[in-house]
Amino acid sequence: MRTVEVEKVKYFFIESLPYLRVTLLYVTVSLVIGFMIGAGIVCLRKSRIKILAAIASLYVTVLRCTPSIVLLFLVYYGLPAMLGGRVGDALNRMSPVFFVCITFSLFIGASSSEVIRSAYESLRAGQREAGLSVGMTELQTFWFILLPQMVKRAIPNIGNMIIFLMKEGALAYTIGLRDVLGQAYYLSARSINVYAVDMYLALTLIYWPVSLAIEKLFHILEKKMDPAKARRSLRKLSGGVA
Amino acid sequence: MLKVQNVKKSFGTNEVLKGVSFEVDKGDVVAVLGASGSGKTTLLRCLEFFERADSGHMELGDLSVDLHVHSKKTARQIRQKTAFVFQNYNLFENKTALENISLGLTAGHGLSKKEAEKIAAAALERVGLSDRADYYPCELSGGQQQRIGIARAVAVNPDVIFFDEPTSALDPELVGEVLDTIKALAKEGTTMVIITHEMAFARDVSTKVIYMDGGVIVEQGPPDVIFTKPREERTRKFLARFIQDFDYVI
Repeated sequence: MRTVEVEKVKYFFIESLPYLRVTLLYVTVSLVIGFMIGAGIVCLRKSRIKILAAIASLYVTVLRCTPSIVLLFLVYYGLPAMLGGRVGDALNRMSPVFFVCITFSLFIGASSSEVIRSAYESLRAGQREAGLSVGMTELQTFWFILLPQMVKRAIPNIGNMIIFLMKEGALAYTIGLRDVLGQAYYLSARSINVYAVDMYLALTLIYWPVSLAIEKLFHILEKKMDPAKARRSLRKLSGGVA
Repeated sequence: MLKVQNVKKSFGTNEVLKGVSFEVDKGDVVAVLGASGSGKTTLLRCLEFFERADSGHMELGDLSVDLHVHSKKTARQIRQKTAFVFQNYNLFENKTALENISLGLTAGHGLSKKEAEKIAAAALERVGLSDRADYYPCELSGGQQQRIGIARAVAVNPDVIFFDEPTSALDPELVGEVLDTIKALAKEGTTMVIITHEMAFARDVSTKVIYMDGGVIVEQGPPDVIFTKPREERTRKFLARFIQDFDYVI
């Protein structure tokens, strides 16, 4: 039996690490577009037009019940075929990362709508009325009072989503995405997978610290967003003088 | 100054307001009494456009509004001339005490930040909480939160302030400080409509008492009349229940 070679692990690690930028790219794009879709879904679900609300609910249910790899294949193979003609041809020439972004935007759209909705509903309706009562418009009330609190409440969930996206993205090597995992697989294949274990070890060494760092970052962010809490701990430090 | 006519409101088949009319003059402190479910809160919520009344009319200063058919713009115009103090305080949780007050002035009334902060600081002073300017609502007691709620309402210099049971959510030992704050406002001639269950307070502070039951105003008049010799049997029964040991028959 062959033992793990540190040299090989190092090789895979160093050669794959730069491809984190691809991961970063699709995670960012999917989050931004996904949250826009999510916000739209929430608006539709709250709308008075029953049919729109029903469609939005259906979207969330369907997306939540679809495995990511199924949706990924449907988007990658299905979309160009469905659209056909010139558009289909153009789509066929697009890079895999494009399809990954679409897929994950759709997913994040569904899950973020739940995050947004719960953040919104956890806010006391009274704060909106209080804003209106001092002469603010609906929009001002939303912008100055409700939105900041919603963001604060959504932050732990956003952190989870980023980690989820990073790991799920590993599936996308199946459509030829060259992210960290895709690159490592590619390199490993060149040496007919003799050094597969070294490669997986290198991948673990990449994914773990990054996930940990993101988790830590969001913990800090969460604290930062709560000025009262931040100050209370400061007071404690300075001898508990309020 | 404030004239409310024939307000009607139903929730489904439940008719909560069956045609309520009353008037408030400048400097009046109107105490609205009545058991829960008598429509007091709904009435004030209709006047602040939190609920859309089924019908009714409201005049405030030179503004005249239909309570059922109104544009967002007129609703905002009225709200800019009124203020509301909530049972649950409803302070903005992401803002400090001072910002809670100044936000209404900058965003709601178009004042500059500097002016707004000056007025807000003065309003905090008025409710005796200058030393809590930088505190967030979650760091304050219920009584302090409600006093800031009152300061927020006072700061926008409204024609009239509506109070929806301002002490009902407070621990008993905190009720006093809030009532004292409202009393001080009354002394300064602030026009207020106050829903309350604090009978002694209502009698002390008000210039006019409205007793509501079953969605109508049963009786209204000066406090010494309502509390000592009410005309209506229903008012008498209600007061007797609330102030058993109270010397309302002198």
